[in-house]
Amino acid sequence: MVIIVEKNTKKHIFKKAKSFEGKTKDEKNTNNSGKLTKSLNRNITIFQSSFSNDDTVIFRKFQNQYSDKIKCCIIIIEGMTDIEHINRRVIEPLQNQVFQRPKSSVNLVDEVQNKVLPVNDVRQSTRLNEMIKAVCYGDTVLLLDGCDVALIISSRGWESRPISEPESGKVVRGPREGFTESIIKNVSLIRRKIKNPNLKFKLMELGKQTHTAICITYIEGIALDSILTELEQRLNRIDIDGILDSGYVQELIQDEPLSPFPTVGSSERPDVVVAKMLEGRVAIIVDGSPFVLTVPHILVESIQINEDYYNHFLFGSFNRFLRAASAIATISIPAVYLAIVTYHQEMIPTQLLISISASLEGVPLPTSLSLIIMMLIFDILREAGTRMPTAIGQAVNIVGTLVLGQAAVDAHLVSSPVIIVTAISGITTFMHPTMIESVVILRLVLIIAASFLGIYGYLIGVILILLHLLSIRSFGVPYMMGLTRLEEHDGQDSWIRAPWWSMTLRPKIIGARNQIRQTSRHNR
Amino acid sequence: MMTIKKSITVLLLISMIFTLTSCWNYKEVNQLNIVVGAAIDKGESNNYMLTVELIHVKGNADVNVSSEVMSIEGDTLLDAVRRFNSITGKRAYWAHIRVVIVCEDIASEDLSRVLGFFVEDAETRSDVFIVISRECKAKDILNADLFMENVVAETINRSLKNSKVLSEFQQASTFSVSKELKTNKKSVTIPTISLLPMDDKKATFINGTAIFKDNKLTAFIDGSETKTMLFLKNDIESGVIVTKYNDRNITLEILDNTTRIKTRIDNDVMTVNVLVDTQAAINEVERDIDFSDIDIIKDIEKLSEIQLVESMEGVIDKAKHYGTDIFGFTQKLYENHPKKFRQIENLGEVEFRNINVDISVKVRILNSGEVSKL
Amino acid sequence: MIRERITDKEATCLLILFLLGSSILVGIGVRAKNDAWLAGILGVVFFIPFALIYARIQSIFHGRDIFEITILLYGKVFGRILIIIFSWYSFHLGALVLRNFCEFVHVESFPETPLIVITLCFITINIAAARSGIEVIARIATFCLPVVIILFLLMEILSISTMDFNNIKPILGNGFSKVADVGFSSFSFPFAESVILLGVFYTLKKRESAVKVYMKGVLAAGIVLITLTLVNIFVLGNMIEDYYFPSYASFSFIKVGDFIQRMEGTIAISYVLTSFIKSSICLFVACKGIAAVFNLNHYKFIVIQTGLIMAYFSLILYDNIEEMVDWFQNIYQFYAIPFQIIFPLFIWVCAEIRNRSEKRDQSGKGKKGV
Repeated sequence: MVIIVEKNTKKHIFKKAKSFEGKTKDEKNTNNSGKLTKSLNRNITIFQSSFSNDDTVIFRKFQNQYSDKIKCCIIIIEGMTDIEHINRRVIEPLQNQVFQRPKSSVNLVDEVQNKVLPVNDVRQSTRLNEMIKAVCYGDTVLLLDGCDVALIISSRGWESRPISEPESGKVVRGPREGFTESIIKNVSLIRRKIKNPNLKFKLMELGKQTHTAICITYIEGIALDSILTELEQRLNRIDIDGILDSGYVQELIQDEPLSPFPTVGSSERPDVVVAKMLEGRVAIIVDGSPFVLTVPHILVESIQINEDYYNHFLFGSFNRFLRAASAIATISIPAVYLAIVTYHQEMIPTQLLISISASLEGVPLPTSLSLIIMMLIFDILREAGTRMPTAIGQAVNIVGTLVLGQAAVDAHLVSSPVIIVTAISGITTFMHPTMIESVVILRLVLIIAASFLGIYGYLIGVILILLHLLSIRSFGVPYMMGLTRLEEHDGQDSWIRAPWWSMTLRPKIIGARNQIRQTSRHNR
Repeated sequence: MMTIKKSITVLLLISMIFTLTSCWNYKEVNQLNIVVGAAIDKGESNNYMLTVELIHVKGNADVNVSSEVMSIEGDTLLDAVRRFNSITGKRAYWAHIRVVIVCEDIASEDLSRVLGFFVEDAETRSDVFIVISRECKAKDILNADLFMENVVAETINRSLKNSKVLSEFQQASTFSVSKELKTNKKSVTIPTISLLPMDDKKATFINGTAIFKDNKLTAFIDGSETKTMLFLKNDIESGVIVTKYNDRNITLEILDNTTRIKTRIDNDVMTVNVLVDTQAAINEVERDIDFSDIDIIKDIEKLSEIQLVESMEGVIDKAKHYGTDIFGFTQKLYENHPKKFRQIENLGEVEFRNINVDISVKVRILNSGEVSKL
Repeated sequence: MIRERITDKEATCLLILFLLGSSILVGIGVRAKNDAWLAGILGVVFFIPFALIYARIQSIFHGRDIFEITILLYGKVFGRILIIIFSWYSFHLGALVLRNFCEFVHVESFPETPLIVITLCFITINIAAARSGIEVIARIATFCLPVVIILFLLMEILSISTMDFNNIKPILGNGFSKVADVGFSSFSFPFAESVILLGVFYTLKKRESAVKVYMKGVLAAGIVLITLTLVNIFVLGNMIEDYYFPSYASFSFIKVGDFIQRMEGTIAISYVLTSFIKSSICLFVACKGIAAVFNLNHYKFIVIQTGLIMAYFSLILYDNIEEMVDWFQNIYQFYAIPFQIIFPLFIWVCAEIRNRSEKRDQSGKGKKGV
């Protein structure tokens, strides 16, 4: 993998990241007053005590070659900083340039900031906390002898992954770039697509220990204020020590934490996120996670895939329909099979009944139990396959297919129709990867329901699921929006994908602020 | 503490779902004995002797289907049905039954008692084919030898489904029979089945019709009479008519037939006009006849018309003799003239005998097979 | 609490499914045999004036539920008595529908399963629905209606081959008086049962939508029911009155080739959906009524209790299915008169008088002002 060093341009935006009140409190671990002194050596000691037992912190002392009086020290953390940049733009001018030490110490800082350092992002600071934090972020603190003011020079630059095609949601047609772990890159990926001053980025910081930067992105004039304020409220409410992935945030701002259905969307692809922002959604970028969250997230989005919009609309609609049908099939097929085979045998044609009866000969487990066990084994295989390296993953597959497919039937452990049902249900699961979590649970629930009241049990289960789906909301938007009411423009982008020239309006409620997507249909 | 208590409660509830429910109507397919055919005879000690044909499935990958026949007696049918459990150990499953065979003796006593079980029980479907065994026990039919099939009931089922090819017997299901029994304006007709000796084997053979008055079997008519009856009921699609022309047998294959029935009630006189319009093709001729001659065709048409009218009159006379309206004329009269019919009915004069039937037949020969001269 | 709102379309779906609930199961006007469809038409015709009355009540007091209206018109004491009567009817009807459906499941599919188990399973979804509120029920109705209609159309098309169109003859064979008699019973079951929806339609958005919803809903449900009755007659003929569940029986004859047969299990989906909607609405309205009688802040606290009592009540209603059928065919139409005819008339007349006098007052004031 190519590793590039990220340039420190545009990093000034992070200075604006407001730290939350109360979160800086635990940073007051130093036993001093929190102010610098005029002595360089004492200042260095203050910093050394703050960073005690941390050997990655570098204190580099040097002086100007023309004037002995100008002594400096830079404090950086190895690995977080763009060393080359500091060497060339900070140490070199300070060492080699001729400049006079002004009378007062404050002026020296100004002199250095204004005349010496060819760096775009430098600021002065007197607060120790701020400096320590800056060092932690990868910025450089420049201490000057005789000054109680230090300079913070932006120098963040750590090694990160280049933009590459994401593993999830592969496309045949469509952009192949994906988000990375770096929030800067992610922001630039979005900005590159929407070249418009209405695109807004709001920065925040979450995590008492990790200080993870997160960024709320939306298009002003399209996104609803109510959703924005609700989102900000929920984000402000978060009180957690660390955020390692956007999954943390996702779970913490969910509407229905107990529901198996996700009410916050996530994607690894800029085109998907931008398309959702254009419909009025708000995106949340979390530093360190290539998955960008979007809210509100409704059920239809689980069957909407970016490629639908890039292909011919008929093909897109057909794929959409297949996805919707398989979503229903994957949770229903095992339960319906179980219901019919164990309760409603009269519905099976005689020939089929005979062959099912034959396949059950000698199988000790009841159908319901064997179906549950097979579904569990399938889920185990799926889980094992995803975590394994590719080579071992194949071995898992072979074992799975051989052991479960052939041997289990030959050994009369399960009947062959159960294997077929499991396989169909399993394959259709992968039609909508974002739904796997909910599908796995619902499938089991429906199997259990069907195992004790047949098709009626299954229907009761389905009605309960529907009731749940209809009663939940995501940031005030009904979760089933677009699927129940098929009026005018609502149905254009749900069960089918209408041609682009006819989709003149944004989805209702989400895009309520500015409904017009196209003013006319003349481009038809 | 609360959470522990709660989780224990939930666990208990879930375990109760599994242990206390999920058993009443849960039945595994391989624990069922699939019944495909049933035969009902008079029992020796009890009322009924029920014989069933059960599907016997062997093998796991290569399914091997065969059938087994067994009999048991009972006071009622359900009584007998339940007794099977104690023989086979598995529950008899009636939802896939194909055919019910009722023996002559039971049919001549009371058919509706037998039908009750099949129509009322939720498990049995109500549109099962029903046949009457003639000159043998119903049980023997299920024990008949098999030709090219391995299930007797399936053989009977197939021949009944293809009844239109021959038109010498009709279809009757438990539902249609009980429906006709209820109207009491139409006599029930059920196909008859008998055993046909073939070398040293015995094959099932469906032919002819059993005629019921009210719910008692009164008479049988044979295959050709059945065909005539089907002509009158507008229930014929194909079949053959054999006529004689100059001492030669000519076979006409029926291509299409429409029978229109017009009813009239004038001054308490009920008249039924039957207009038969048959399209046929000449199919099998014994010796050469020149069919390019239109007059010959005309003659053949005439002859076959006369022949049809004669046979129809014969069947109607027979039906009138037994007092059974197997053609549904009375029902037609009631449907078309409910008020006048009621008046006559109140006078007690609705008898099949009193209905005048006028028949006019039109046979049209459309072609003569593949060649004009034979 | 946010005020619940349902659109006209949702309300229409709700009304259609409500009218179809359990009437598609036991059939309408089966006592008239092959004239049942005429009885159905008569039922719709009889009902239309009453539909207008129901709609009128709702549009005079737009945005208020029937309980507020009753208390407004008849004061706290007598109004509460009327509310008790109305809630009782809703409760009883819910139990009837529940029993009807559970009896169907019991007879046709699960003869060995105790009725109480089936009833408890079904009351669970009713309770869940009633607790989620009328908005959710309305949305689930828009979801269910296409399923129900498509299933019926499919079944009706497939059963064409099993139909005998002569079964419909003779028309009016048993005389008009019989049809009129049965027509009245099909007025009270299912059409006039929609009086219950007065407890639901306070959520309508516009004042004039009540009339539209009632007319559209009743006509649509009438068409569906009458078509279904015709299909039953064509398939079953004079046997129609022998079946407890005629449409289930008539769809059981469907055969497409050798493979697709015994399709009636599929139609059970429609029965579940319609009965579920109907009994959920009844439970919802009953709970609202009880909450109004006892001045409770919110009906949601009593849904579970009322639901369980309803389930138990449905179990003790009849001893067996014959009793149930007898009740539905012979007694119900008379039992329902006070709730379906007298109660709404009471409210309507009083409402009109009040409305007139208010208008007069207003116009009088207006004149003075000028």
